[in-house]
Amino acid sequence: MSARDLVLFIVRTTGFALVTATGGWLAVPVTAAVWSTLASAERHRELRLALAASASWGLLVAWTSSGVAAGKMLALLGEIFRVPGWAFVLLTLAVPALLAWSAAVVTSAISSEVSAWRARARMRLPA
Amino acid sequence: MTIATTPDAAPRTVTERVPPRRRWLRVAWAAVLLVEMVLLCGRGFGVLPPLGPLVDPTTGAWAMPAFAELPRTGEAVVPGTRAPVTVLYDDRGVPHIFAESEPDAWRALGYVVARDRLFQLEMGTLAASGRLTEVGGRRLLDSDREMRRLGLPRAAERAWASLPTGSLARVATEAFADGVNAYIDSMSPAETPLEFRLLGLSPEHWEPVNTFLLLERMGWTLAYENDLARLATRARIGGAATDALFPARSPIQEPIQPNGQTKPRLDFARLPPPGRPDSAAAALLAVLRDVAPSRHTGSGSAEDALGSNNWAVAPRRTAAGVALLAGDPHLELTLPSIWYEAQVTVPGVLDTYGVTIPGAPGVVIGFNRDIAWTFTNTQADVMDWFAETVDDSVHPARYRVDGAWKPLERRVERYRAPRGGTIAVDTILYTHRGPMRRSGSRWLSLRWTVLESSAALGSFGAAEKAKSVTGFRAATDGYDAPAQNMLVADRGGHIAIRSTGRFPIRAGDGRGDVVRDGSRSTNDWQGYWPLARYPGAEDPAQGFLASANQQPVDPNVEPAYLGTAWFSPWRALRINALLRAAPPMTPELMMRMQTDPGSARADFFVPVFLGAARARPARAECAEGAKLLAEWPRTYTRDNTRAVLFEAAMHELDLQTWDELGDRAPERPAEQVLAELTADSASTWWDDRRTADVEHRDDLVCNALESALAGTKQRYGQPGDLRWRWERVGVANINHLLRIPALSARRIPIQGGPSTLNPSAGSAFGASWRMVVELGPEVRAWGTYPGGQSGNPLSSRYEDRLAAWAAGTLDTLRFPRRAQELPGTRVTASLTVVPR
Repeated sequence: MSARDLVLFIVRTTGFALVTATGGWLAVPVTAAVWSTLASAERHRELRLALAASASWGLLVAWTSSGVAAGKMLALLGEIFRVPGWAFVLLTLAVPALLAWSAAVVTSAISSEVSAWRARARMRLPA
Repeated sequence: MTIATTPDAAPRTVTERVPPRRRWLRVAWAAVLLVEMVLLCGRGFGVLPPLGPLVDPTTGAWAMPAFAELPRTGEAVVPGTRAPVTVLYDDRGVPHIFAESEPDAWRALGYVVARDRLFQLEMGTLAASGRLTEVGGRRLLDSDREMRRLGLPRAAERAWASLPTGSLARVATEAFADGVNAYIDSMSPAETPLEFRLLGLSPEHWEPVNTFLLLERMGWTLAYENDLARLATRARIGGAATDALFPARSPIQEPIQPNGQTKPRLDFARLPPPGRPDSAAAALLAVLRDVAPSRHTGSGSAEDALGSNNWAVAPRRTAAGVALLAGDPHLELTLPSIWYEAQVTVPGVLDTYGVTIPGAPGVVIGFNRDIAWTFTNTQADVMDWFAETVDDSVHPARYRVDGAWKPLERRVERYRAPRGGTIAVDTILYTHRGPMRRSGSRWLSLRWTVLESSAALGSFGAAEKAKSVTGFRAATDGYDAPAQNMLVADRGGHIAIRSTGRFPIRAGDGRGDVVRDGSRSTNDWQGYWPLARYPGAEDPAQGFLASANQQPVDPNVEPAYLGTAWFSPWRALRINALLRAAPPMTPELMMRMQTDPGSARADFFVPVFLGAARARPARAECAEGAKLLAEWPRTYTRDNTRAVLFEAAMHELDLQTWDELGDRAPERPAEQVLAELTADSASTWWDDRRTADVEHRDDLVCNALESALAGTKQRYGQPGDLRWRWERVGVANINHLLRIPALSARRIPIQGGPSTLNPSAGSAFGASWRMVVELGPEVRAWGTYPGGQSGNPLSSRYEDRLAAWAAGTLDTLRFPRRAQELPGTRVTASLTVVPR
């Protein structure tokens, strides 16, 4: 990973954290879609966006929850849904990743098609 | 084809490498995933709640622990507040509210109740108004229909509308709503209670009418009727035997209103044998089964597991020479608790402490500086059915009374789905008596005092301010429903009890356990009992008063019909025996009495089993069972190993004795009737119809004991096995409002058993609040309830009182006159309620 990649990852992670804090979970796919369009030239951008989204929620969780009380909460949710407590941690990290990845893939495809359509349209234009 | 215009157009290179089909498969898969994730996060799926709000790291479940405990200090803006209100939470999580005006105090109460119990408020409202389908969908339709067909929402609306503008009850209700809504409006998404997240709900604004919905619902909770059981029995064995099995006169007389006797009176008579089936009753039964509320069509008897107690002792019988009062209303136990504890003080106006129903402005059971009061349910018959004559058996528009047609009132009830669609629509028809229900071509209307009640809130409000027993009685003179045995004691040393509520006066024999012809106005209720006839007593010669849901007044003193659903007076017998024999009474003794393990029921029936075994010496297994029972001190302590056998024997005895009623009888005769029967050893009721022989009492009692012994051994092993210990069986279950096991407290071992003073064992009912008050120069009080003040399962105050409740210990209640009197070390949080 290059220094540029690292900076980009930090910026994106911070960005996802900020939009989540202000706009809630729905802001994640929207932001990922926008970023995916802006960074259309970047290799593996969908995966990178997914990782950044997941990391941002991980950071927010660490920020908002305190250790003992969070443990109690995990145990409680685990009991309610009859799954181990850590499954909820996994879910919390997986949800933004899946939202971001899927939104990025779909947006990339759309934006790629739009670019191609424009290019074709330009080629068909009379000189 | 793509056009690469720059050297780093890498993705396009990648795109070119991936076969187009595979690429589009990937996009399609991502699109499906995106849609599914958005739906899953936004709407949930099946039993799964919306995942987005749940896992959101800033406002979702992760943020909940930060709001589990009350902030050390805080400020709440509540519109309408006139002067700042100080709220101090003590170390038991109880808010002490100090306000300068009554409306401000109720605003603050609304705010703090919402802060601790918001989901309970929402759930209670939805349940009472028949709107649970809006949360749970079609599967809750029956429950909703029940509430609406009973007419609870309409009754609440009418009660609210009937309150005069400016009346204290109206002002208090509106102020309380202001407080609740101020909390809802100020609440951040992160503070949303867990249950809302699990159900994907948002809190609704609180309407003043909700308070009345909750009160009506409480009236429904406390409605005990055995009309259906009587009718089913009558259909099977005729009227004479039915009247004996469900008597209007309790065969064991230990009434609430002292009758001058120093011990219980056994009015045992010979029970008439089962008679011929009554075909008219059978036809009516079919109708009533269709229209009666489902709770009244279940099977089994409630009297063993249910049972509120209260008693008061006059100064001359107490160690400190001041009046003492104890009360423990028994209701369904839930987490959070049905009660919320609070002190409300307005200098010179109001200074009260006790438990409120979350959603109602006022202390329902509690004390002030001069008096203490508590209730048990009266169990009176205040719910009647009338057979109506209508103009069209399918779509009636009118009903006939005294030959004249009257229009039916129509009310359309719409049941909505969680996402707003309509699940069902009912048109409920009302006569002047109440809601009508249909069975085939027959229509029955229901008249019930609770549906006409509007005075309860005003009475509670006045009672809180009473200065004496006389003042309390005056404050509750107008109380209407649900009828309660109201016990009160004051600092002047006076004690009093009164069964208070509206008791209908009916035509003819006055019975309310029959279906009357609604086409004649002479069958209508003709008024209510005058206050002077309410069962009750003040400062009786015996020096104490007590009630435990038994028949309130000796029928030799007041022969008029009041009901038949009296619980057997086992608890009353025990309380009165303890009070009669007690040394000078102290608060500590009173507290111990509330979980007393002794049983008047066991004291009566164990000798019956022992006597049967002696009378049938050849029956070895009966003798073995009797030997085991003889070893039992007849107390339901946690470590005793014989109560299990006794309970099994009582169950068998009940089943085998009343076999003539069939296995599916809606309700069995009360155990006091079984006790009555034991006095007649040759009664035909003892005969087991399945055998050719003619059994007598001792044969059947031995049969029951032998069956019980065999069953107990099979289930719990040989006597001496640890599984015979009562604590393995006698457990209380406290369910969360949504019955989520992780949020419930189940299988809590307790001391006490069926028909003891603490009869929670094996059921979800129990002492919902225990309180003891000493009315000395300074009022001192102790209390607790199962659960905790907070409805947040992550809070340390969610179930912090549970262990003490199970152990039967009560906390000292702090009752400061001023905010400054509450020691700083005891203050865990404070809140200032201010105007906008």
